[in-house]
Amino acid sequence: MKSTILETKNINEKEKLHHKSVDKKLLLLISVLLAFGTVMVFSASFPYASSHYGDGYYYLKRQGIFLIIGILCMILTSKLPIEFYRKITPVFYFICIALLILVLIGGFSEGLAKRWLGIPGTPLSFQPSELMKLGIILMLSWWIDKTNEAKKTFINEIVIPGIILFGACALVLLEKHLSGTIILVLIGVAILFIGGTSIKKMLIAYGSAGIVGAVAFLLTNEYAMKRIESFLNPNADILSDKWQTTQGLYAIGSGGLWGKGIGNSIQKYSYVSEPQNDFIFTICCEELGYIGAIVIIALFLILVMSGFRLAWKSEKLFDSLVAFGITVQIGIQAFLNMLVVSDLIPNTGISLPFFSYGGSSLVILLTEMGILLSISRKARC
Amino acid sequence: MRNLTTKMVKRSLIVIVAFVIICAILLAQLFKLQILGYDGYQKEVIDQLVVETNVNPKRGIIYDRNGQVLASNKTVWALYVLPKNIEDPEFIAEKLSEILDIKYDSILEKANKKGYKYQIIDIDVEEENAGKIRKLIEEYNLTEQIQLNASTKRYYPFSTLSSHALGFVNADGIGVYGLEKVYNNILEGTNGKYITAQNAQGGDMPFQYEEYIEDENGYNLVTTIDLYIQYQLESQLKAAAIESGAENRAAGIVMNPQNGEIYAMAVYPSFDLNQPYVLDADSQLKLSNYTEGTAEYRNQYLNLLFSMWNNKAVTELYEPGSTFKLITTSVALQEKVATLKSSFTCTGSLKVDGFYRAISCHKRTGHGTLTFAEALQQSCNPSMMRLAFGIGREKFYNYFKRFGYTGKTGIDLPSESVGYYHRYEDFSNVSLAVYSFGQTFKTTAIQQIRAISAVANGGYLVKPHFIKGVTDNEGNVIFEAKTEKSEQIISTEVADTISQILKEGVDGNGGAKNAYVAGYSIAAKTGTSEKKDKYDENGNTSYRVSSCIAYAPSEDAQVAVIILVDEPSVGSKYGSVVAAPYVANLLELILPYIGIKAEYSETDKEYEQYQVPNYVEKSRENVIKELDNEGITYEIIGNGDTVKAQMPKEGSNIYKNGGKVILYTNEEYEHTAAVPNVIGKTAEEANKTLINSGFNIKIIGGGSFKYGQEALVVWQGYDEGTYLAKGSVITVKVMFTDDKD
Repeated sequence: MKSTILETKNINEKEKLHHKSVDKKLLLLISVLLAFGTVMVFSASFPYASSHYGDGYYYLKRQGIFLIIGILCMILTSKLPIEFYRKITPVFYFICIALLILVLIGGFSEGLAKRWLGIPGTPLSFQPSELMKLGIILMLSWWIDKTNEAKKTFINEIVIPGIILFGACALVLLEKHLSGTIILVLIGVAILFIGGTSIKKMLIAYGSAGIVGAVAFLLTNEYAMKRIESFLNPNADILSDKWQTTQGLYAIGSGGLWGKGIGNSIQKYSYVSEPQNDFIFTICCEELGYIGAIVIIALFLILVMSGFRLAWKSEKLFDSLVAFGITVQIGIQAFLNMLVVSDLIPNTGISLPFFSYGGSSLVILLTEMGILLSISRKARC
Repeated sequence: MRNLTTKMVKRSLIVIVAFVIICAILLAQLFKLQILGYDGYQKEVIDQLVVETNVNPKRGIIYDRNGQVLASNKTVWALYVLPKNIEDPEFIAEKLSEILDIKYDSILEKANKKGYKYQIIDIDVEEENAGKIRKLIEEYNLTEQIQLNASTKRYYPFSTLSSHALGFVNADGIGVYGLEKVYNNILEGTNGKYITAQNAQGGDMPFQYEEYIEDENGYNLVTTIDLYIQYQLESQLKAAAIESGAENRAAGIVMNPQNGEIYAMAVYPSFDLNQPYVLDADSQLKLSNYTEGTAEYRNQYLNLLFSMWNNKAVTELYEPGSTFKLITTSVALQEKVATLKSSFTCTGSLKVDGFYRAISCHKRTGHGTLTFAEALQQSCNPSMMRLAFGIGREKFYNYFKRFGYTGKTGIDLPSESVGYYHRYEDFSNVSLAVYSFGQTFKTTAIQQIRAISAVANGGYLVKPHFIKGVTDNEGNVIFEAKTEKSEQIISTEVADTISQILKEGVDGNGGAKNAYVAGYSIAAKTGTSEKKDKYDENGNTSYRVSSCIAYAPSEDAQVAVIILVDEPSVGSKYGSVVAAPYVANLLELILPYIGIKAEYSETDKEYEQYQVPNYVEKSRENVIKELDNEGITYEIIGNGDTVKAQMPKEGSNIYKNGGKVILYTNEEYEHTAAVPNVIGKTAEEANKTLINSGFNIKIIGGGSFKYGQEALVVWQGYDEGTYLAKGSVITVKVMFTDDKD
């Protein structure tokens, strides 16, 4: 865009500074969200933990451990130069693909779907599909960056990115992980969209493939159909699928303007089941009211804007695209979760970043934040 | 942004805008939910959170006037099985069916309903069986499979006693009949509530959310009922109904004519308040004509049930007949239409303008010339008609109203009926004539006893009532019924004159002489009315309602009685035979009970009674002294110093004159003798015969038997030839058997 001599001088000076330290505002924002989220996990999980484990601090303790691991990961990833990530991207992507295949072969199931993979030698497990979100972000960014200067052939612009994206999506879909697949598609399409891929071509090529895939999936998957039905027919039996959504709405609605005060949720006492998970936002709304909800939404929106600002200010296309990608992922997950629990879209099972309890996703989230911070070192802020 | 093309920046801005739009939608939706929907959602949360448990208050107790409990509560147990937890349904079914009167199959069926948490086996397990079940649970460790929950049930200690007046409660504990219904609000108390917060699994919430709204026990009702009088009324009513073959039940009331307090009210047959859905024996017999399970059977069962519960004394109408003549004569004296010196001639019937034939007297041959007193005592219809004509249509109708025949008495019982009577416009000359002797209008027993009481108490209309007071749990008096007399209808002088005439009729040769009780001045009048609206198979109006009203002592009445027998079918249908003797028996029992001493006239002295005390284990010497003092004849068998046995037993009544006490001093051997036959003899002859055989006599059935030859023994307590210990009391029933009204 506009560039003046003055700016160029300043850039040179600033570059030196910012090579050393991360974006403090972004770090502050992340810290606020982490602290806020941890307090809410504690509050929301207390009754569930008390009744299921006889220890109200059960989830807080576990979340604390993962928080420490995650922060260590974040520090580590923020120290590594962005160039490093660019180099390992293809390898990382294929490791993710391998893990997804591994999960289909040997993962252990929780609930209805095979999603988890144990880490050998530890009691820990994680979802490769979570890791694949980062894999997609990196891989698509890498590909766009790599082919940016080259001639835009159909193969380069549509086919290869399509294989990168939908190959991963297909594997996640085979895990019967609908929400994961949707998020992957959204992240991928967002990166391609921002990266300048022709909308028309994407619509025709991916749209037709997507529709075929979606219809096939829905028809063969009872679980997903049920969720759609439950959304389309809100008066269905309160005790079955609709229970959770209804109880969530009770929680949100009964929060009022100022909320019942932190710790004072009534709905978390087994009315909203597993309130520390996907429905944690409803407990936030109940305890902190409309004001609290506005603050949380604002924090996410600020995070998205900070991420985009970082992308705009980054010097290299790869850096920008990764920053866009990570930010878009957080934004999509956060807002989709809120849309679900406030009954605007069907219940798909998306967790709320920074707030929902969950070890592996927190570690991966913080790893991504580390990458974002790493990018900020080089950005011209 | 050297690296980014304008297109990329634009597109990233589009993404930002999309996020902003989503945020706006979210904020709008949350505004709708949290601000606009707050009240609704808050209510839903509280509603599903809060669990209300009703705490049932104790229903108040119903007492008789002396503090005897007529209705109270007892603990019963509801028995549940928990099919989910049952390991061996056959075993449970077998054990429970052994303890309870419930079929093995029905318990097994419930125990096998695995999908249910609870199955109720019986809601009404008595403490005794509950104890057995508790033992069973303990013995086989079945706490997770069988449960007993305590609840309370209304309990009537005297089951059938005063069933129609007391009424009963339904399954929810709400009074649905009788006093239980009328005073339900007083008795039931206020429901308490225990409100707690529970999580979705029914567990407790960590915070203290408890609200306890105290239940308030019901107040106790103290009634005017007297258990003893009630019991005696029911006994006499039963005897009257059975012996006359009453086809449409019998009803009786005992009331204090001075203040309207009801001592007793009964309908025969009564029913068991503890099992109000079980038909009485008569009704069961009627039901046996139907096939069980059919719709007709069910309908008939319900009809019979409702008829059985129906309180005949206040809801059913009857023609009072001659008992109304008391009112006609009172009004005649009050209005000075006649005096005691008036005389009447009865030729057996009287022609009345407007009626196609002469209206006859019950004595078809005519009473001849009668004084005013005789006209009432002999119950002469033409005389009454003449009096009524003298009073005149308007005045008569007014008095009819003022005696309460046109409105409810306001008694504290549900479903009281108003009598059936003609509107003044329709009250013709002929009506006037027949009303004078109690025909063509209908009244209830309670209306009738109130009207009669107005004559008994010196002219005041009282309000019949059961409520005496209301007390709380601690026995504090919350309310005390005040007795109010309303306006005076007839002068005390007139009332006393009529009472005196009635008393003389009972003592002498009046139609109600069967109501005589030795030692007491009884005013009584009998009545036998034709049921003009019910025809027998021959098309005749042969059905009768036979009744007797009485009050005593006639000069200062403390108790008024009415007994009416609907459709007597065996023997005489006259009130003097069907009802009067039982009224006499009743009065004989209750007058001393309420503290009125018998005053025997010279002729009565012969029948003065002596209640035999205990002599056993007392010294011969002392007993002899005691008996000599009382002037009682005795016979000592054996020569021991201590009385070993006595006959009659302690508490029996014997006549002072002619009665004999046998004392055994040697051994407890009782000399026996054969009971002679006394049926058909006069009272005097029967007395002699029995005493000569070594027995004591007890005469019942009222009847001024001392007057001689007309009253005869119709029944004796032991059959001829029965061997009984000497000195035993043989009850005989003496009655005038001439048909009089």
